[in-house]
Order: sequence, then structure tokens, then C-alpha cells
Amino acid sequence: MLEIVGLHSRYGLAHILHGVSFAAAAGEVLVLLGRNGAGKSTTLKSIIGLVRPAAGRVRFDGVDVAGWEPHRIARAGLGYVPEDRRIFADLTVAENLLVGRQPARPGLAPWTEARLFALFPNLATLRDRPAGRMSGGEQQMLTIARTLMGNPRCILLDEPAEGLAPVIVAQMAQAILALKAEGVTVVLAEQNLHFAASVGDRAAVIETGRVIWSGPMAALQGDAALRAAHLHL
Amino acid sequence: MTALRASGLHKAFGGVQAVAGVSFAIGRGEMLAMIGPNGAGKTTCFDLVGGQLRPDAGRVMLDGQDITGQPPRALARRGVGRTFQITAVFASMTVRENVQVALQAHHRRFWRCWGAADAGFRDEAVALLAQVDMQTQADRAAGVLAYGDLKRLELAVALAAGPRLLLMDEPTAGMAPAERTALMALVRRLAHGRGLAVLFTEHDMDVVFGVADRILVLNRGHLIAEGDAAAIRADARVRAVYLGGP
Amino acid sequence: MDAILIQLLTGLAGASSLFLVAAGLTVIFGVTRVVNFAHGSLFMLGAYIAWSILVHLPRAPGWHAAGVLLAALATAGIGALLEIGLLRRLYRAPELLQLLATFGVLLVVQDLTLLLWGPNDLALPRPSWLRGSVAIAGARFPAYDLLLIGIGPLVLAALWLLFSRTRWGTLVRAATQDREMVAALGVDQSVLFTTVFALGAGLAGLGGALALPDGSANLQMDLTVITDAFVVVVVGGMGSLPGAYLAALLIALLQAFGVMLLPNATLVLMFVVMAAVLAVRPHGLLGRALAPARGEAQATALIRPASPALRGLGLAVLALAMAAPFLAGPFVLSVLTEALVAMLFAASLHAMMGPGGMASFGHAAWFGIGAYAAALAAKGLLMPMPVGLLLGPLLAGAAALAFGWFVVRLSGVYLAMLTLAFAQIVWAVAFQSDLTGGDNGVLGIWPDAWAQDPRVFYALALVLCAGGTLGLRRVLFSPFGYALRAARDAPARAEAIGLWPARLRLAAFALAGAAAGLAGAVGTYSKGSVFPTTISISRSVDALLMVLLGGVQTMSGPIVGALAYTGLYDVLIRATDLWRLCLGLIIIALVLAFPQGIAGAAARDRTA
Repeated sequence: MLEIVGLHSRYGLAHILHGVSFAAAAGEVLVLLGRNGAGKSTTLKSIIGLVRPAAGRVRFDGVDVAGWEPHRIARAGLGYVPEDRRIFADLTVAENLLVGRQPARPGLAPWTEARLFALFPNLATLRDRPAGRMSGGEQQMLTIARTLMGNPRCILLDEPAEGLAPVIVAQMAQAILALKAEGVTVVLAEQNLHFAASVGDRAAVIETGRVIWSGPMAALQGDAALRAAHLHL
Repeated sequence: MTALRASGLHKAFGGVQAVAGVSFAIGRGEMLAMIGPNGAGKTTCFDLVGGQLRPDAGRVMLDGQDITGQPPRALARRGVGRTFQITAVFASMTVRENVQVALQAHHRRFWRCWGAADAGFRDEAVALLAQVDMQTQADRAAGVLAYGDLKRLELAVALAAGPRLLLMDEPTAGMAPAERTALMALVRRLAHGRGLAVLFTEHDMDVVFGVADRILVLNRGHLIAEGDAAAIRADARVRAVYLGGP
Repeated sequence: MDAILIQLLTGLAGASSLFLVAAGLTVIFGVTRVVNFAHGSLFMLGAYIAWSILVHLPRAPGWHAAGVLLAALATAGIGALLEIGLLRRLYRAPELLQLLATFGVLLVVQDLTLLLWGPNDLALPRPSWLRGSVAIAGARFPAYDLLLIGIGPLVLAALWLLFSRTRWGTLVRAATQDREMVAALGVDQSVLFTTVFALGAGLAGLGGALALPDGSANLQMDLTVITDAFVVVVVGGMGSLPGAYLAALLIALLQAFGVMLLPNATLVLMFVVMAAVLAVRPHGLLGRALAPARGEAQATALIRPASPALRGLGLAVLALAMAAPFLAGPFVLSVLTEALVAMLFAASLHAMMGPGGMASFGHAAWFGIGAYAAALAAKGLLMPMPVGLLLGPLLAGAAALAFGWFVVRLSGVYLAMLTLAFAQIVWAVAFQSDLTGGDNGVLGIWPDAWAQDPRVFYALALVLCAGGTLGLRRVLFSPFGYALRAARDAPARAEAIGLWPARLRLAAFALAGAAAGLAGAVGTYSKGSVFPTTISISRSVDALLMVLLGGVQTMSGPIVGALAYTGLYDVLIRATDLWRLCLGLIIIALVLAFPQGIAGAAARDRTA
């Protein structure tokens, strides 16, 4: 579904990708694991086109989309949920969803407001509330719902559980598993192994701009030395 | 001896309580870490202590004097130094000139309109750069430094004013693991050697548990735990909201 | 009582016209973050196009309305072409270059309008229904103005519906907050931007067409309107439509009642209100702090003292300049004097713009204050020349200090627009006041007897201007200059080491004003006269072009730029009547060729 090969990106002074490679198969949850500053966010931004890759391929459904404008990549069926949420604070919940709306895709049941409110019940009662006046957890749900309105076949989630209360984190995990059940491919950038393990099928560990290990989630959990060297737990 | 005491700090942004009643103290020569999930109020706490924000309620005392709500430039004069989460150096200057400007600011020379600036405090600047192991790069442009070197330059700039209290907001973010430990070990040497009080935030627990004398844990604007590394590791609430794991 | 009512209605009618222009400007700015200097030109085109259409149509109200709408649509089309052909390529360029490019468009449109419609004012023959009036409280009030009063709120309501009830409007509002995120959600920004620009241009065109029956289409409309619109947009809060209407009301009522109370001070009054509003609400009445538009950070280059080679070259040029009186005749000396004045003028702008980080679109204000101070000292107070040469920089510096007090907290576009507005007000004072001789200017200001010889005066100008330029340079390399640059490079860091960025910027602002004032004073004695054109927008843009040509990020840039630009300008003026067209096209070409800054700033990646 999504295959990243030798991705290089420059991003300000701090984060540079030195040839990131990994692949996500259709319908699976792939977790991109790494510390702060390892290059997770830059990888996702490079895939969606917000950072123009300096080199490398981003094959989505067999087409190389590297270097495309972000809106073309999004229309091709890649959804992106940013780390800092970037909801439209002045717009209501319903309007935020409207901005994300794209035509339905063959083979996928189109997302509607009603279906999204079923997935995130908290949002239903807030339909006409300006998004800026919601809690962090509600905003996180809205930003995912907004991206889903574009009916993506693959969704890139950048640390959706970060800074949320544990009970909301659990809901978030439920939502990710529900997406998987719908047949949506999920690429999840995460530094919390605990959360990653609760939803992930496979993991790719990223460190200073390179993927240094990838394999099944269970294998990572069994390898204490690997975890100690590259993740903090 | 207490260098800084913050008591009952409150700050709200548009109805959201970012910091709700946080109190803590730092002693001379102490390394105090502040940890917690994103959005816990760490940066807000920093800005309240560093003068970038004024608290809605509460006091900040430096060496027994009330400094609540004073602007950063006044705090700098009283001996509060700071490094930033997003590295900020003077990009149009060389590494040495960055430190020279800080020295000129510290000695209140910045209204002098005559005489070449790059001739003043040269030796002092090089000496400070040597402390952070940057003397060989003194004549490079600050704008093209590698990330770890930027962080060390920032430290030298902050040290130029001879601070009594140093605030470091995520000092090692974006650095390689080996570099992180080296930088914070250097800060620890300076703190213990000069009696410098250091308050820092950090996401890397190796660094926190490795160098901090004491650790504060913030969650949703509240202080939920305080103690040394062993106590924090064992604290059930901290594991639940931040450290994770069984 | 009746007079007040009539003035109130006049004010309301004026508010509608102002709102139409300002609404377009604010909508375009909100989404694209481009401050469209050519917005007044679109207004002017709307008026001219409406004239061309309406003179061929029957005079009935229905036909008139159709003609007006057609003119608005045509202007919208021109706006769309402008966006596709020019602005689209500049969204990632520094905002100053965007402003400059749209100023190039303004120059081009001026000459094209002159070519197409000729130099005469074009008034519309007014049919009876347009001349009608209504009796209100015993006075006659023009019916057409009543119509205008209604149109403002009507357009506001229509825009509100458009932005709140349609998907397009929702997308536009989302893009105003975060256009990158909108793109990541699959929305094609270029379509959105083109349509927004067309809408804004259409509103300007509508404003121009509606203003036609009350006046005429003329070549001065563009600059008059753009100044008013800038003030309204800044007072209302950039990007806010209700704010624009509120500010339009405020400014128009102020103008209407100001005419009654202080007929000669309406423009000054406008500035006082603007300053007061911004002192209380730095982002305007209903505006909010703008998130820094992404990817606009100015690349900073390392600045080093001159190398021995550059120093040698500078000394050689200086020696040549000192030898000039023995080599050249009076004409060449007068051209050289002009170049010296331009050099100091450019260097003074560079000092605040480069190391100070404050771009000004109204630097001619300080030059003009210095020029008029010298002229009035000589003609009004009959003072000897040294007094005039001292008063120029003193008054300009003092005025800059007072004005700077309000504006150094601002940055970027807000600062540029406020400096422009202030310069326009200084211009208006010079133009309206009897003291300054109005349009006729002040004539016959000649150097004292000892300096009448062109060679002596040239030597004096060389000492003052080259000395001033080198003095500025020295200040910029002093501890103060470094502190100033520190405050520009990283304001938070500068404060954390004990610097006070606002004060440093204020000092730089006043210093730049004083240096420009000195240039103005020398220029006055050199030319023997001073006119309001000394303070015109194009004079301010001259200075900007000189600095940008030479490179903002270099310390010798303004010197080179001033000499190159003075040469280019002289050649253009001598070669063609269409110098505006040529200059405009050159500006546009330069900005398109070097969208990252003419100084050749390093190419930047597309980052978030």
C-alpha cells in the first residue's frame, strides 16, 4: 500500500532524514517508533508533501508521489493527522469536517458526519462549538475525524495520544483499531511503546533519520536489548 | 541555600488552566528536572519563572527578592540565564561574536555607538567557549553550526552573564544520545562547581535520571510528584500518566 | 442639528465606498498574506472600465446597475490574471518583495491607463435620476448617496453569507488560519487563492464603478484610495471583514465631521485615530495576532567588517570623489551631489531595515521632514545654511522618535503599512498647508555665499553624505549595532541576555530618521527648492529599491544600490515618457528573477 524507499529530507536545522525506508501493507497498523527528534514527524510530513523530499521514493498504491503538491497526494487517498492537531480554531466542529470532505472512494464505505460521531461520541454533542473551545482530547478526535472525511485509504497519525489523559488514550486506541477494521491502512508515529504495542501489527524503529530495525510488534516486545538501546523505557 | 522559590503559580489561557497552583524551590548548585506529558504546563512554568509570562497568581522569589512578573531583561541583570526549546542564536554573527554580544549586554555596553564591537571582550568570549568546548569554532558563522554545537553555543551565551540560576527548556531535544549525556554532564559540572542552580525540562529519561538531583513531575498544570530518581521511578501516578509500563 | 445629520449621512455614504475597497484588500490579505499595493489600481481600473461601459449604455437605472456589475466582473477577471501571472509565483517570497512586486503593478497600471484613456479626468454625464435628491430634515441630500449608504451593509451581509454558508467560504476561512493544513486535506490552494483574489479585485472594481457618478475616473485615484484602504484595514484588524466595516465607518465619519471642525487637519486626525487604536489594540479593532506566515523567515547572512580589499576599493572611490571638483564641470558635480544624497538616504533606510529588521514603506517622510525643515529655516526664518543643515536631521530624528514610539512594537507588514500611512500624512500636510506653500513648494533656497561655488557645495555634500554614510556604518559595527542585530536575529534570546529590543529598535528608527533628514536637507540646498513630491510614495520606493538592489543582508549594499539606481533612473527618465511602465516592469522582473531576495539569500526548503 505504502512503500518508502531511501527518503532524504532537510527540515530546518534540527531534523534531517538520511534515507528512511519502510513499507506498510494494506489494512495493517504500522508503528514508526522513535524518540523525540528521531525524524518521525519529518518522515510523515515528507510523505504527505509538506516537506519536499530531497531524494527517495514514496510509492502509494504503486505510484511514486514524492515531490507532488500536498493536495494531490491527499486526493490520491493519503490522509495526514499532524502532531500539533492544527484544527481550525475559529471554525465549528461541523465546519472543520466540511473542510476535510472529499469524494467517496470505490470499495470503501464513505465517511459521513453521522458515522464519525458514532466513532467519536464526544464530538456529536459539540457539533456547533468552535473547535478552539474544546479540550485537547476532543481536538485530537476532531483532527482525526476531519482527515477521515477525505475517505483516505491510508492514514498517517503523528503521536495522536501525546499529552492526553489515560482514559482518552484508551479511546484513541479503540478508534485506531476500528479504522483498521474498516480496512484503512494506518501509519502511526509514536514514542510510547506501551501505546504502540496496544494497536500496532508491525513496527519500524527510527533513530537519527534512519530506520534501524523493522519487524513484527511482538518481536520488538521480546527484544529487551533493542528497546533499551533505542527507546526509553 | 535556596536560589529560587516559586509559590502557588497560576496561569490560564482563555479559560484553560495551564498551570494551577505549582510551588517548588531550587537550591544553589542543584540540578532540578521538570518532566511531564506534553501540555502538562512545563513551558508555561518556565515562562512564568523566566519572565516571559506574568502569573495570574503566585510569587517567584530569587535569593529572597520578589521577581514576579519582571521582564526577562530585568531578570537577566539579576542573574537568571536561559536557553530555549527552539534554539535561538544570533545567526548573522560568528560564534565568538554571539558570546561577545552577551558579554557586552552583561556589562551594559550596548548603548555605545562608537568603537568596533568585535574588539571587546574577545578573550573572555574565547574562555567561555572553551568551557563548552567550542573554542575551535569561534570564527565560524553561528547560522551554519550543527545542532549539538548550537546547543553548546546557547549554553555559552547564557553563561556569559555569570548567572546564578539557569533555565533550560529541553536542552537536548534533537541531539544524538551520546551528545545529550555529554552536554548535561557538562551542565552538571558547572552547576556543582559554581553553585549554579539549574532548572531544566527534558523528555529523555536517561538524561533526567542520569543528571538530575531532584525531579518534579507535572501533569495538567499540577505538580503530582517530587523527589529523586528512585522515588519518581517508583511513583505509581507518574508511571500512569507519563512513564508508562507496568 | 440638521448640519450634523447631513454630515452623518455623508459619512455613512463615504464609509460604504471605503468598505468596498478595504474589504477586498483585507480578504486578499487574510488568505494569501499578500498586501496588495495594486489594490488602488484595481479600484481605478474599475472606475475607468465602468466609464467606458456606461457611456455606451442607456441612462436608465437598470442599465446603469448592469454596467456597474459588468465593470466589477471585468476587474475581477483582471485580478485573477494578476494572481495567476504574478502573485502565485511569490507566495513563498519575503513579504517585502511581494509588496514591491505589487507596487510594480501599480506603476505599470498607471502608464497603461494613461495610454488607454488619456490624461483627462473622465466624468460620467449624470442623468436626472442620478442628480435627484431627497429632503431630509429640511436639507437636500443626494439620493445616490442614500443608495451608497445601503450598499455597504448589503455587501457586508452578502460576504458574511458567502463566508459562513458556503463550502468555498468555509475553505477560505480555514485557509486564513492554516493554509498548509488545508492543502494536506486535499484542497487545491491555487484555485482557492485565484478565486479569493478575483473576489477582492471585483470588490475594488465595484467600489471604483460606484464612486464614478460622484466624481470622475482620474489617474490620482489609485494612490489616494490605497492609503485610505491601508488605514481602514490596519485600524479594523488585518483579515477581519466586520473590522473593516467598523473602521470604514470610523474613518469616514471622522472625515465627514473633521471637515466641519478642522478642515485642514482631516488627514492628521486620521493618523491620530489610527495611532490611538493601535496603542490600545496593536492588532486593530477586531484583528488578532497573526500566526507568523509559515516559511517566511528571512535568511540571515553572516556580516563581517570590510575585508582589506573592500576597504581599499572604498578608499579609492572616496579619493576619486574627492578629486571630482578638480576634474568635472558644474553639471557633473550636481549629478554627483544627487547621487551622494541618494546614498545617505538609502544607507539610512538600510540601517533600520537590515540590521534593525524594520522594513519601511514610508522612508521619504523623514527625508521630506528634513528637506522642509531646511527650506523653512532658510525662507521662513531667514537662517543661514548651517542652521538649516542642523535643523533637518534634528527635526526628522525627533519626528521619527515620536512616531517610532508607536510602531517599533510592530513588525513586518503592519510596520511597513504604518510607515507608509505616516509618510502619506506628512505629504498631505506639506500639500495642504499654507506654511509649506502647498503644491507650489518652497523655492529659491540657495547655499550661503561661501558655498555658492558648485565645487565648494559638492565638497560640503561629500563631507556630510559620505561622512554620514560611513558614520552609520561605524555605528552598525559598534556594540549598539551588534545589540540591534541580536534583537533582530533572535528577540527572545536578546531579551534573555538583558537587552531591550524595543528600545534598541526605537533608537535605530530615530537614527535612521535623522540620517534621512540630513540627506533631505542637503538635497534641498542642492536643488534650491522642495516640493511635496519629495515625500511621495515613489520616493519611498526609490529608497527601498536602492536597498534591495544592493542587498539588505550586506553592509555595503545601500551604497552600491544607490549609485546603480540613480544611474538607471536618470537614463529611464531621459529615454522615455513611459518610465513608470519601464520601471514597474523592471521591478516585477527583478522580483520574479530573485524571489528569495535580490541579495541572493540561500534557497530555502519548503518547510512547515
